[in-house]
Amino acid sequence: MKKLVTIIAFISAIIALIFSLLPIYIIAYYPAIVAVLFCVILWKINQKSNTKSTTFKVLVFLIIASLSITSYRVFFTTSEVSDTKNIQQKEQKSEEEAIEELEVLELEE
Amino acid sequence: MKSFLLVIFFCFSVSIVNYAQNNAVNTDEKLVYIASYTLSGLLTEIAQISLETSPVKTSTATLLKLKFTATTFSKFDNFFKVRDLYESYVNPKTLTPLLYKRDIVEGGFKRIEQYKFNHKTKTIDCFVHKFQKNGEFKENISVPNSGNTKDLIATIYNVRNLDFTKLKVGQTKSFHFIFDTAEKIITIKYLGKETINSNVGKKECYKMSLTLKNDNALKGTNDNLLWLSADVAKIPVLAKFKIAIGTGELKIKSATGLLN
Repeated sequence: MKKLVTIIAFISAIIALIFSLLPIYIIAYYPAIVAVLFCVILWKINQKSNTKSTTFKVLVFLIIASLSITSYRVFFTTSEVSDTKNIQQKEQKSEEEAIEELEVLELEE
Repeated sequence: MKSFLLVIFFCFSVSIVNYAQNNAVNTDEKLVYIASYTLSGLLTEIAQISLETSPVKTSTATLLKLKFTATTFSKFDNFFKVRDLYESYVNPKTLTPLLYKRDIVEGGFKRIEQYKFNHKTKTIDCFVHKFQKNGEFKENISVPNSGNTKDLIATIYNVRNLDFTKLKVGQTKSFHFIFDTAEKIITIKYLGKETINSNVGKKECYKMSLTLKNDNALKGTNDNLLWLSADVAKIPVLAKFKIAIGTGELKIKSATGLLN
C-alpha cells in the first residue's frame, strides 16, 4: 500500500514539474493536486508506522517546486509577442506586390 | 491549429447585404485581441490577433487595406509557432473585396494564397502555393462568384455594418465566403443585447450565435457566440467558440482609431 502511494505521488509530482516548465504550464496544477493528496496519505501512513523517510522529503520538495514555478508563471509572467520582424517584412513586400496587382483590377459598379 | 484559426475567423464573420455602405469602419484603426484556448478546463492565452485598417493608393483609386495577423505568444513559439498574415484590399465605401492575400505559417504548415475578385466577369481567380514535405505545389483555380461572396477579412469588417436595429431577436441570416478556394455558408442568429466587461470598458453589445452549414469546424448549438459593441463602430468585443478538440475565446485587448 505504502509503495503504491509513494509511486503515484512521485509520478504525479514529476509530471507536475515537467508541465510547469512547458508552455502549457497551467495544467501542471492537476498532477500537483494529485501529488499533494497522495503525499498527505503517505504522511498519514508514515505517522501510523512512526517512520521518517527521505522519500517523503524529496516528494514534498518536488511538489513545492512545481507549484512555485507554475504559480510564478501564472501570476507574474505576461504574454508577449516577439520575433515579428519577418512578418513585418513579408507584409511590406506583399503590399508593394498588391498595389501592382490592384492596378489592373476594377472596383465593382 | 488550422481549424482553431478558422474558427477565430468564424467568430468574427458575419456578412451583410451586397454592397452596403460602410458606416462603421474607420481608416487607420487597430483592434488587438487575445486568443485563449481551454487546456484541460483551464483557459490559456496562446496568441495575439490584430485587425488593422489603412488606406492604399493606386494610380486610379484609394482603397482600404484590411489586415489580420495572428501571432502566438513567445512562450508558445518553440511549441507551435504561428505567424499568419491575411490582407484584403477593399472598396472603402462598400468594403467589397478586390484582392485577398493569405500567407500562413502554422507549426510546420505553410501556405500562400491569393484571390482576385473580378466583379465584371463574376469570378474569383485563386492562386494557391502549397509547401509540403514532398515538395512545393502551385495551382490556379477560377471559381464563380455568386455576387455576394467575400473573403474572410472583408467579411469580418462587413459585420460591423449590419443594422442591428432592423434585426429581431431570433432572426437568422445566411451568407457566403471563400475559404481554401471553396465557398462556405455561415448562418448567424441575433440573440439580443448584453452588457460585457472588457479591457476597453463596460460595453453594451449585440449578441449572436454562429453556425456553419457546409463545414463541421464549429460544434454545438449556440456554443459559438459573438458580441459586437452596440455603438457606431460595432467592434467585436468577445467571441466564444467550440470546436472538435475543445473550446476557446477571444477577448479584446485594445482598440484605437475608431469612429465615434
